Amino acid sequence: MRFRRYNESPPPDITSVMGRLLSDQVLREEFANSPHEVAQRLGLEGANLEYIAALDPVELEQQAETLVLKRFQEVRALAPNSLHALGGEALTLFRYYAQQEWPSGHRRHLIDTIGFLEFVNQNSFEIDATELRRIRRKR
Amino acid sequence: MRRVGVGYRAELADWIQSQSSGMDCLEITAEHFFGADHKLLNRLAEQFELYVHGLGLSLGTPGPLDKKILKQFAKVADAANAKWISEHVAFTKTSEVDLGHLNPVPSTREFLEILVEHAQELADFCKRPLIMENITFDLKMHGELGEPDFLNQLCDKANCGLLLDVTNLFINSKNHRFSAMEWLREIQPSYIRQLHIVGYSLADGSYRDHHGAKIQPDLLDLLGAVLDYAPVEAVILERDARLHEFDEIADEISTLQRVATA
Repeated sequence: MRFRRYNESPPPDITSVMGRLLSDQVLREEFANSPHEVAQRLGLEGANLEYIAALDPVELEQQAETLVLKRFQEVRALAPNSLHALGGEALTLFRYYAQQEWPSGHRRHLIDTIGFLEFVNQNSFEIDATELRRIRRKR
Repeated sequence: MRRVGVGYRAELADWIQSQSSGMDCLEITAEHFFGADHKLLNRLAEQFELYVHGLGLSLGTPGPLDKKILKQFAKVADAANAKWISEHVAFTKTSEVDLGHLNPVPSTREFLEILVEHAQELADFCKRPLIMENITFDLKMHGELGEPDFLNQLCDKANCGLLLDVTNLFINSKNHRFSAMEWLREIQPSYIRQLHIVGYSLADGSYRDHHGAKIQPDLLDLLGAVLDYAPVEAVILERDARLHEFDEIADEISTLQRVATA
């Protein structure tokens, strides 16, 4: 038996590790190749390690994709003109942006929309600047 | 008497107030009113029976609930004089990341205890009855308990009810290939107090809840079966998209009223 050092952090719980996996595409790719190794690296032990290692990587990827698509839906509802202007590029750009940014709190969709439009703007794609100003005022 | 209503959205405000809406209850999303002036809720509460629905308390996350969110939630429930409050059998965030939407929890006894504790805390804090909602999921989180057993035990131990999302049940049954009727028959009918319903979408063989489609006939059949099975008190149309289609939404409400009172 390994004793914990005094004041050593407790091992992460299952939802913490799922949070890491669902928000990190690179980690999910590593998990798909070596689930036990990744679960161990994330600090899991015993039954929790076995539980996470047994998750279906395809379903995990689908769950992560659903999270991104739901965020995208919210952003599209708040900034319809800008997303229309981006056309087929909108989702590709959002997928890239969404991997880096995870806003929190009850105004997260607003923060997400502003963040995405600023990201798009910085990358020289056309957005509706009036729409962005209007959304910023809501913040 | 079974009530039929819609999830309140700002885009529907004028239509809801119109004579033609014909509804007698509304579901308020708690987070939409955090930090907002509550006069609107007070006014709505005089006209409609209101239920307050939460999205972000993340009752499935181990550890203490966020007290700030709890307080805001309770304020909204008070302003709405909510007949009951609801949240999800899910987690949406961890100490490191807010995932923003609902994710399944393992159907284990450990997570059952976490949800029971959090459900009791929420109901006690708000001093109102609580009902818990089933979610859709792509990722199957196995455990010692099947989903219906998990929900029955949650309702029993936490002394709460069930908000059965008929669309979520339908979607899960299609995507994960099980019988929705068999699932339903495993649920203790007296727990089911409220329903959610909205049309599903189907893309690349996968069913989705985009909250914008018209209710399909096979979904209405399942709704009818649930209404025959359980003493449901309220049915809520949960639309989040295509909210400008007032005539279509009015038709949907009429259909639900017809099915609910048949």
